[in-house]
Amino acid sequence: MTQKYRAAEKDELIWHDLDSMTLLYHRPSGITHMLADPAPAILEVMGGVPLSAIEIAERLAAGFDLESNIDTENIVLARLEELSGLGLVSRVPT
Amino acid sequence: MNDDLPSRPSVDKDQKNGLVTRRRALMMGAVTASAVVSIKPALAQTAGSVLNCEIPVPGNHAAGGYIAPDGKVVTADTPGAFPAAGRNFTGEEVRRAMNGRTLPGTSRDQSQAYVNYIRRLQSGQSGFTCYASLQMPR
Repeated sequence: MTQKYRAAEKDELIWHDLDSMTLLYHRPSGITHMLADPAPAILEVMGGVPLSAIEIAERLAAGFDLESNIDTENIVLARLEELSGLGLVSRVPT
Repeated sequence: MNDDLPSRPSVDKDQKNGLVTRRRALMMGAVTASAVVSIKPALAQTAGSVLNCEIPVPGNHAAGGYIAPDGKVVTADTPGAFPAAGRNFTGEEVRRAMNGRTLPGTSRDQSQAYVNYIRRLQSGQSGFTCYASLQMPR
């Protein structure tokens, strides 16, 4: 079954937008993360529901102008694994 | 499916009447290009080995409480809640459980409830430093 991911809960995160970066404070860990595209957009479109990489890629394509000729799903998957390692995203048991 | 997308002021949804649609361009980068730099709090230097540090479930601040499936500490008579773990879990055991395995000596649902409890730990509570150290980028 396709792995799904869920973003950290809204009340666990404090966002602060900078010019080209986003600062994200994760309350449970006390760690501040500097996020570059596409990580903030991924967390944003995830909302509070479990989604697979391909579903997130579809949401990104619906809300943003994406470069053509890129493997969006695999890039999303790589970012999800990165965010998962930091506690900002969790794998939802299947 | 897109109805539940969060609203984005930067996205001009009005494509009627010949208006130019402006959507923010999103740089996806490459699969191998990391998108996050983390600022470690001072406790990163004081945290013990992730292999050996321990997390009680629940901690002293919630002694006697049961753990609901969502990780909240509830009273013992709460339906579906699990009793205290009876032993501390090591950082390594918790790390594995967060990656889909089960905490030793627990059922799948019980393990998930305990992991949810650990995710909710706040600074100052037993096990927080251990939990935080699990998330330090290495």
